[in-house]
Amino acid sequence: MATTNDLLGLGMGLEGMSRRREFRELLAKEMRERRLGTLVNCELGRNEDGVFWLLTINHPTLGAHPVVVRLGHLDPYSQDALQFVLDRVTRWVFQTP
Amino acid sequence: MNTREAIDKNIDDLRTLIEQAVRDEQLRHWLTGLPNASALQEHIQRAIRDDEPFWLAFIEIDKFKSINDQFGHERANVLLLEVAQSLEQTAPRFFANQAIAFHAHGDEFYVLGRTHPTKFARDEIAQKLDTMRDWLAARSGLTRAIAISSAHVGILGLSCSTRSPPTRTASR
Repeated sequence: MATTNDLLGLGMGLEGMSRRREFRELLAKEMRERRLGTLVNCELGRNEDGVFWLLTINHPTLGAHPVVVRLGHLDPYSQDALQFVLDRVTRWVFQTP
Repeated sequence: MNTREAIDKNIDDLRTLIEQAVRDEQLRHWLTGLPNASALQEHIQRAIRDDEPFWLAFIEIDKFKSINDQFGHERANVLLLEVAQSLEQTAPRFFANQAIAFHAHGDEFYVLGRTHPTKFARDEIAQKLDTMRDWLAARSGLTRAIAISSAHVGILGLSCSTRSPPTRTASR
């Protein structure tokens, strides 16, 4: 039988998946509109310095690259994080030779 | 084939060998000799082009900058070499030759695998990467000496289809 903790964990897991999917869709849409390439996937990582998004981007001229965007202590799914990631990706696109 | 043609052919063969050697060199990290960021880019590009699903794990050494600052570049480079060597040996072993280790920049390493990232595979990959990371940390004497032992592993499950597989991220 599932315990309350199991159900809570499941709920939090589903919420996390849903937020990730929503974030990913928004990011992909913004990247498309700004011509920053195709977002192949994004995955959230965490280390001692905080959280980061690991993106794989397929850019029409730069090719396919993994890009790590460190967020520090930003909520990874927030609007601020989305804007931060877009800024970093924009910088990456324009700085990559 | 006359002598002149034979010489021309030898020169062509030699040129091909040199070009191949230069290209191999360009695709390797200058310090560790692992395939570098350009090689990783080629592998990802090929997988996308061929519509072959793959997964990507990102590995970095926690607090690497402080290791550099405290112990100097030479010691830090030794650590990078140890991690690279361990990754090169363990990635194919843990993933049945379906995974390749890359050294992109600084302390950033990647492992690229060709297993289909279904939920089961993702969980299995996460577990194996956890074990591999612990093994890497335990194996590196230098890491223990500096008392910085944890690398971070994030898993990017990647499918070229429009379906998004469930997320799983392993971290320490």
